[in-house]
Amino acid sequence: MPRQLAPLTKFLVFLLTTIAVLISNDTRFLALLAILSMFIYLHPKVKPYIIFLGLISCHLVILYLINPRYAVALYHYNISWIYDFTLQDALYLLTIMLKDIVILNFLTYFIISSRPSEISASLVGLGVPYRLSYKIGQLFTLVPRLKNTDLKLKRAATAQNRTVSKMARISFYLKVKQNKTLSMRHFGKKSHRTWSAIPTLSRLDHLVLLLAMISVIISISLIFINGSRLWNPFL
Amino acid sequence: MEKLLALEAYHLDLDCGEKLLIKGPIASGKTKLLNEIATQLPTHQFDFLSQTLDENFIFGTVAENLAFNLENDAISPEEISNRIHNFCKKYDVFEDLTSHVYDLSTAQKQRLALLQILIHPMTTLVLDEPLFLPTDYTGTLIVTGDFDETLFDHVICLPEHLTDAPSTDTQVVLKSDINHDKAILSVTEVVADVSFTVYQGEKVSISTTANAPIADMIAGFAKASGEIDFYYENITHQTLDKRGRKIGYVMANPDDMIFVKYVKDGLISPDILALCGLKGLEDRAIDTLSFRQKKLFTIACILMQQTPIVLVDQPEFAYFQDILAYLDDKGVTVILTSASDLFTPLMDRKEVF
Repeated sequence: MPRQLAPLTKFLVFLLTTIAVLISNDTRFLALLAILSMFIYLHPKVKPYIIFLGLISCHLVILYLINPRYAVALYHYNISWIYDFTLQDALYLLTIMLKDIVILNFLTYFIISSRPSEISASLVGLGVPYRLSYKIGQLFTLVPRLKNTDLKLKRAATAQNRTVSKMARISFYLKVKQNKTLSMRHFGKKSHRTWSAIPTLSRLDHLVLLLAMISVIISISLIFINGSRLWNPFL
Repeated sequence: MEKLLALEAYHLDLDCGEKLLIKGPIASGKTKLLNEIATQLPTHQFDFLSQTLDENFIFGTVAENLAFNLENDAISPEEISNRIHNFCKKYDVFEDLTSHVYDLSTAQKQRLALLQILIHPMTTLVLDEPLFLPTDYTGTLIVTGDFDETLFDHVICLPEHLTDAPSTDTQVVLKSDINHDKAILSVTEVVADVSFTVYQGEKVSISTTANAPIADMIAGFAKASGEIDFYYENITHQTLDKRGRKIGYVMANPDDMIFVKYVKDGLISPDILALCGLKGLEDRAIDTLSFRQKKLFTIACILMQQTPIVLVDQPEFAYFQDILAYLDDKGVTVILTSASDLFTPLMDRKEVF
């Protein structure tokens, strides 16, 4: 398995690549980034999620339905391909799809492969107040927490040969609260707090960060090379 | 010495560095008093150990829980990892710091709940039924539980609230109808070197030093490596519902197995309610019960199942003799897993691993 990156690196990679893909509309560049982003699936915990497919297709369909003529206006060219669906539409939607892929991939990588405390620690590293960072990190524990409670409940009920109604289950979940625990354990005692979860950045981290920054630079320089944010192969 | 706390109702002034023990029978309001004391103490100047076990932990690994109090006191990460390292060596625990708190056995959780306080204690500790007494701690100590009174500067004994007290004085006579030809449960190597056989009608207490949750394994809640036989039928891989008809399992932490809101929702017959000291509490919400009452409630739920074996993890002594007599009368096999010696004279046999 490749060496682990620091959570802060993963977060910054997500942030920088998102900026890069939002600036540029160059399909070639986006395709390259999308291919690179696929490397995240080498990580054992990251799996392709079927919901992403749904999200992206929804996004594309909505974009197309809102204004089917937008791509033709954008590329100043009209080549009909399948009935009313033009080649321009295809290229435009492909561009948007690549953007979605890059953003979602790096976001998943950051969230799935980091522990909630690491996410909080990364946010603090960026200057977010620590109470808020902790709360944001805790959001990511919500699903595992519910799963855990559900499993416990089901097992206990099965062993007692009983069935639990949906309502009882929901009210049981709502009992999962942590505020009391936090103050009991001195959270918020001081104006700052340390995070033992922050690893120091390794050379690999620096290298990856450099690459992410280069992607932003490329993205900006493509504006000058193409003459606009758009790459137009039809002209 | 500086005065820390005044408990007017008990005519007691507690100075800094003194030790106070709160004693009392079941549901006498020990936890309630402890909570009241906690509200009178300055915030973040004391540590609190809750009897509701899961309330003590943040969602995360053992290491994260050990580090949490230190992090909140803004101690540097290097210092934290040093301290955790030394602390674990001293207490010889948690080979696996990366395991999740929710995967620990109840005994391990009880230990962690106390240790995560002792790694960086404040000047006052308020502990509700800790697993052991921190003897080398020099600050103010306010504790409930069954500890030696001579170790404390003050003792508060809370009065009895219940009318029908459990029969602790009179020794109940058990008929102990054991059939030595029928092994109701044989456990073979669930953990290395843990094997035993229980005969029909026997009452056995099991005590292990191993960290493995033996009771969970027997009941089928945790994976076991060896073999478990019920009347020579291998039930190691049987589903929970089938196993639940053979072994009624009362878990150590009652919160893990209660999913009803009111006592009456448990559909427990009046005689079993009375047996478990819950008579007259039918309309009470479970949340308002004391920890021991919750435990008794879970026992009552299991008794209603009328299983041939009843397995109790970390039983409570209150009402236990009456419950044991009831089970004895029905010829039910009883297995306890407990580190306490209180139960030994009541049982037929004790297995130590």
